[in-house]
Amino acid sequence: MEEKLHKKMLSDGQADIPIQMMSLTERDGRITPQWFRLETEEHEVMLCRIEQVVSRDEKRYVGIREKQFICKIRMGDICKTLEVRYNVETQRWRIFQFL
Amino acid sequence: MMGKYVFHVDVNSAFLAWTAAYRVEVLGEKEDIRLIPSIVGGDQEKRHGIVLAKSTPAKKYGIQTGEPVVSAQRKCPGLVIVPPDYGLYVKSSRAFMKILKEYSDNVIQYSIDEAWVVFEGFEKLYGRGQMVNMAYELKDRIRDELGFTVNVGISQNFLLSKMAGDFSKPDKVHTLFPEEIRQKMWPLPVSDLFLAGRATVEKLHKVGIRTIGELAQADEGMIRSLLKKHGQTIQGFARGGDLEPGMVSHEANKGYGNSMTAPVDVVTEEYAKHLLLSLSETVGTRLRADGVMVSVVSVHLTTCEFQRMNKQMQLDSPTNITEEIYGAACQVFGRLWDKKTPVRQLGVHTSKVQENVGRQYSIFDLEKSDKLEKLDKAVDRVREKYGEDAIFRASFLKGNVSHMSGGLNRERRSGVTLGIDVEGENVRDL
Repeated sequence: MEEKLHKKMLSDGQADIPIQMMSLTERDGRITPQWFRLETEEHEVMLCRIEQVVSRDEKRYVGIREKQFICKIRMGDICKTLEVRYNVETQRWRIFQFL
Repeated sequence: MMGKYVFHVDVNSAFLAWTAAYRVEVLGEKEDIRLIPSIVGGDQEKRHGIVLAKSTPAKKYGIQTGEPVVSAQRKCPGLVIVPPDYGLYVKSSRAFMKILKEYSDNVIQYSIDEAWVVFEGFEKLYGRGQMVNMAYELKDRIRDELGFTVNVGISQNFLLSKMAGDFSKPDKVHTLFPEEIRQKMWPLPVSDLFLAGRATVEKLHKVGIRTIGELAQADEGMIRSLLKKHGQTIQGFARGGDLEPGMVSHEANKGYGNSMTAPVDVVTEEYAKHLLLSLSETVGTRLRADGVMVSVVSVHLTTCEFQRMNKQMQLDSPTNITEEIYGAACQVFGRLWDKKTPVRQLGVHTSKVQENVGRQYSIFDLEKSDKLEKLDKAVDRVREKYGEDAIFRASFLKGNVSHMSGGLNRERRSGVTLGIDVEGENVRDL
């Protein structure tokens, strides 16, 4: 499954992949990502369930507000840790990098 | 009496640092353009290419801000050139100013990337050491949170703190308290002094003044006869005097001008006039939008060999009519240009701005100027409603000249030149 992903990006740990995200917003406004869908290089849609949100933070580098989540996902037998970010202004989710 | 503390906070190579931080921290790129020879440069295709900002490694090649991109490339063949992103710069600047405002309610923004933070009433609570610590904390916080570095200059007035901020870069805190002037500021070349421009420095060099210390100790009468009132001002600076209140904040426009680099060198008068009309249109529109009139029109040009020239003329009566500005610009240009040397850049500048003045009718052009005024008003209204390109002079139908040249092209009109409204932004924690 993993090889279907952007190979080059995975190899050097770099990624900037826009994703479709299903997230849960608590009554206090706290956001928790649940699962996401992304398009592979072969234009296949892949679904990933987020098993655990390891940590969360808010960044505002160069004035761009983004919520940062370090998440664990399962791809077949292997567990992957990745960083997804939510841009508060544009309301878009993306995979920032694979860790 | 201790007096207030003033921090001058200045972003290190702002445009480049902002683009670099965006690429690294937001796009997740591995290469940091701050660590390689790189510049932020204007559009090469349209020959607008000048260096807007440079990285520290690029500086080592002798590349200077404001020089043509082509010449920078000659100095450093492998130079990385990135295009500017004005929207990002405005965002970064806002976030930067917002942090400064957390430290003091008295933040005076001087430009998009620098500001003074004034601490009044702190002197009895905190010693200098504590203020210096706070400056370090502020500097580090901006670096960690926003992803770019700043220089902080600490002193007791605006000028000295600005001078201190320029000592050595990047990511540094410097102090320049009045008793440190002799030791830290006086050995510097006089060209480092605030508001000492090229012409001023040249004049000072001629009389043997090369350092700020020499200027401070020079005879007042000589400086005044050499540089008039400006001499007094900068000699005051050299002695540790402060800026006058007007210099700290931005005033209303003193003049309105626009310039452009021609897509190809200008060799015919016809083409030059065409460009002048385009520039006059932009200037006129801006004047009318602000409801002001001007009575001086000047034209400046840069030849293909980068020689600069300018001339001005006084109008008979104040105006904001495109056609009248154009007429004057053509007259001035006729006297300025030798009709031979290819011209690279042209500019139309107007000054002696007056607000709410009635029109002074000349007995010769009574009706004509009334008609023109109505015409301009109508054109402005059409443009306001349907966009800038909705209506323009037929002479711009053919050729590659925009009917309103100069100033910021559309992609750049993102508020870089406007004051940045920090208060207007809602501060909410999500």
